[in-house]
Amino acid sequence: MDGERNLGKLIGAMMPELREGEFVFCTLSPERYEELGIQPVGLFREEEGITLILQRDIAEGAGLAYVYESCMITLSVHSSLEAVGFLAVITQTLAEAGISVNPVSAYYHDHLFVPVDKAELALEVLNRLVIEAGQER
Amino acid sequence: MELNSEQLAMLNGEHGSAARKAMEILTALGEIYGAVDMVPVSSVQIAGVSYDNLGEAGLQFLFEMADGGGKARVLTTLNPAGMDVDNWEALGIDPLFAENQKRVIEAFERMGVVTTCTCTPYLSGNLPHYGEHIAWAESSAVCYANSVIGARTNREGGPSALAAALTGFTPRYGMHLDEDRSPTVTVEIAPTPANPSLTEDVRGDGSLRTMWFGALGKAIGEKLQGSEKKQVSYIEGIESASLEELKSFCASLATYGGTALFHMGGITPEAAVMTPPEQTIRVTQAEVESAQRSLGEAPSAKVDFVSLGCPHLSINEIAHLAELLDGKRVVKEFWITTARPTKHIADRMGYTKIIESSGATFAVDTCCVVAPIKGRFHTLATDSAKACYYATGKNNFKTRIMPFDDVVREAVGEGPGN
Repeated sequence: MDGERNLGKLIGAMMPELREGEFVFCTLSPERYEELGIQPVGLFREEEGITLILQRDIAEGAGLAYVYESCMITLSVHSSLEAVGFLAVITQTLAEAGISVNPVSAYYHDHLFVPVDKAELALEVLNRLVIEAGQER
Repeated sequence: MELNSEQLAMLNGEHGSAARKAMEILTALGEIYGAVDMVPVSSVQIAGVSYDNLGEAGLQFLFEMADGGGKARVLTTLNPAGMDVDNWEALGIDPLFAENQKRVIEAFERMGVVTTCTCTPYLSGNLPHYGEHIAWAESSAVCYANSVIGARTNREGGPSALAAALTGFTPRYGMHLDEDRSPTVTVEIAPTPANPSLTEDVRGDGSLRTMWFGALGKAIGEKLQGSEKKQVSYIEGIESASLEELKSFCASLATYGGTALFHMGGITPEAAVMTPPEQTIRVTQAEVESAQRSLGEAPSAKVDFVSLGCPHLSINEIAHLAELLDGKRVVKEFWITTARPTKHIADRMGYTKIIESSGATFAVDTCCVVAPIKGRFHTLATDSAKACYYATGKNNFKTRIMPFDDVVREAVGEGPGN
């Protein structure tokens, strides 16, 4: 299994990066999704329907209703999908700062969706975790 | 957290949207770190200035703050940018990057920030006094301000430093409190007769000891890293240290130990009023040498990039450099990084002419840590432990660390990496 598992190392090396643009969450039927032919950044299938995470511009262009206008922070460290407690530390710290977060773990990286107006604060809080782990940006 | 009426007014948006956002950031951080209230600050140093680090999203945040009426309420200076703001073409910077970097600087200018762009604000007109509360980012400068000057600052990030600038406050916790500034461990530097370079005032050949202090910073920093809580060290056994040596030491200790504060017996101001703790760790000459070896991970590599000025060179170092380069010809890409005001003095003193005549390049406002040079060179020669960390970790270079004077020899083709 590739990817870092050591918690201190993961946090010290996470290099949070704020991505350009605003993202939103939408839900729609599989048929409607096929029809639209849009490219979301994230997709999850539930019994009730498909969830899309995508750029707000794309959602608006397709006339989709959306919730949770957010910024995407990518943790640049290549984390193992089997790492224990990494996201727990991050979500707990963000919670202490009063920031809601929807994390998505993809194959290579973890991505955090945080409210647009809290993005800079979230970045500051994450960078401090990095400093406390003894590594700086 | 207790906020006074002025701070509450900011939080309620009565001073504009930028001040509101800034106060939101500061109060959230205060809650996390258990601050009781805010403390007024008189000086701010902002990091995260290079477009390479900020990106478009970071730049948009700066625009938002500038558009929202953000104005610095206290003396505020900037960390190095991603390029020499005037002379970026000579450094091979991409025009699109230059355009974006200029937008960053303009956003700060609009907010009344002094755009000196240096990691040594204390050499360029932003020099707090003993006991003063400040809010600085840039880890080497934080370590210098707390330890060497005795001012008080936590290690701020880019957004929290900007927030302190726009409000004039920072949450009172950590380094602002007496109890967190007391030493927790004594560090004894053990010299050996064979290599007394750490305790001798000046080396026999008169060269600068910046590299040794960088290696010492790494050796101590990594020992402190092993402990569970953040340690404040009381260092004993250093008989003298120049400004330049302390500058190098602070940069290294902050990079490798995450250190915001140390005390050094007989040298730093608070050491005189503190007692060295009983718990003691020893750092031997062998460990310093081992740290030094680990920084030059490519002992046989051919050097194609040479840089001095991490942290930014003082005028004293530039004078020494001019002496070494006088009449010589540089045969490699050689960047001299320093602050704009220091360069102006060098111009007036004639040092610039000597240095540039040799073929070396001044890279003012920037440094090899934040410039967008990833992958551009193979092996860096430097005297800086901090520069080695970023050269390998961020820019994919190999590194060779050597004393200041040897770095210059390397640049003129007389060093071992030729």
